[in-house]
Amino acid sequence: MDTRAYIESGVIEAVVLGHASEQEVREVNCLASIYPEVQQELDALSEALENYAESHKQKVPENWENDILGALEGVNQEEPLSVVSSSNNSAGTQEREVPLANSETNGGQRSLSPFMGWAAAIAILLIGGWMFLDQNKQIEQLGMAMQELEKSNMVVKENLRLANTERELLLNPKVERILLSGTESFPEAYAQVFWDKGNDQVYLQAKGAPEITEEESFQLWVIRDGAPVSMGVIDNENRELLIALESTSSGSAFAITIEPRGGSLNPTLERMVVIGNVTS
Amino acid sequence: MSMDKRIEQKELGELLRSGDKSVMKMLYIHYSESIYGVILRIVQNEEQAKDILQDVFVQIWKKGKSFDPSKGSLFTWILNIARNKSIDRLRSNNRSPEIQNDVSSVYIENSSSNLSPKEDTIGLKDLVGQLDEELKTVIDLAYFGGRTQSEMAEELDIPLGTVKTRIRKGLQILRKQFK
Repeated sequence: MDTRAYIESGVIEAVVLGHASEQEVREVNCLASIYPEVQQELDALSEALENYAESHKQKVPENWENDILGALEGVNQEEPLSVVSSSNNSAGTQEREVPLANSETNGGQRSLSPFMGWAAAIAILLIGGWMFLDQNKQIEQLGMAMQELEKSNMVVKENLRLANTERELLLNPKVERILLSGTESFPEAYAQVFWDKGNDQVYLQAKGAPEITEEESFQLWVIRDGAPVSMGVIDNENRELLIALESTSSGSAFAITIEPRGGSLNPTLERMVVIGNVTS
Repeated sequence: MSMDKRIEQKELGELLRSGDKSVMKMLYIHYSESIYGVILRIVQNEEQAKDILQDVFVQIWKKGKSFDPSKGSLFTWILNIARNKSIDRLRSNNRSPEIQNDVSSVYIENSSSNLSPKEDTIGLKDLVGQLDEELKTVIDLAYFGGRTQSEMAEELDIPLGTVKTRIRKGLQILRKQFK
């Protein structure tokens, strides 16, 4: 990708100034995690604006501090939305995360009851404890029970959706499933690649990959004409998800290496985790 | 930004994400003046600004777990919360953020502990003053005024391309100035 041209297109400026579309913001963040030059530009411009903003600082009346910090009393942090976070692929490819719940690929229907069971149990316990608590606490507990139910409901819906998508992939005759097995340094590791020959889209699920740090990313490579070509990166927390990466129309093998966060131009062969040959 | 500031932000960000409420006082000490300055610049009303400042701190805490350090710095995240709340407040009052071009009205009274020893009030005045008026206008309209590029083009009655060029130039100058 011509990063120079991208940087000069003005989209990074739009992002830092806040008038970029959500899609543009995601795109820039994505590209920044792959291309260091884009990250650098993003950082530099954000910093410039931070300093600009700071140059406008004004003294705050002293007695405001108590009021303002006092307003935090009883305020709780919100739980972040679970699952779906972006995968890293370059411009042009639509980012599609297809997060998948933790079990094997059997394409079977997920059972609703375990989740609902938990949620119901929590709700009942909380409501049961209701009788012995005073008014305010009661309201708080009820609120918590509601939140728990909402949360598990979301998880259940998400899991259903994911199970269906993976099943679609498995049933699709045009999709080839390639098992990547561990290397000498990582003998227990495994991963799978789903390659949709109909549209060349490649999906990766690196569930069997080892834990890596925040400073590292897994990078998927396809071996094409004897040379490795990057298919994108995923980070540690997305290992278990089914992620749509780049597309390729040809390749003889797929491999994953551990690279510094954001990926590298060339694979670090000593840190290859899994590799698998395309059989057809 | 110095390395110290970067480390500081990293630590503060971690405390915030981990749910350590004591971080809020630290954030207040470090950032309240900058946040207040931004809010005031936008709403230009002390009473409303106090209100919004409080909302901002509540929001920072509420959304603290969702702060993603890989997507940018803590300070930028906080500044954006402040900007958005201020612009929204103005809009709900059916007002559009006015951008004063009178540069002198924007200056801080005195420098406080947040600034690194190298920077002083005089230095900052010079730096901000170095932005040509037309460049400063577009930066301010975007940053404090929440305008999109096409809105700016219309308001200022200039081509969209010119807006883009000025934004780019302005940001490049700001980038060099504050090193």
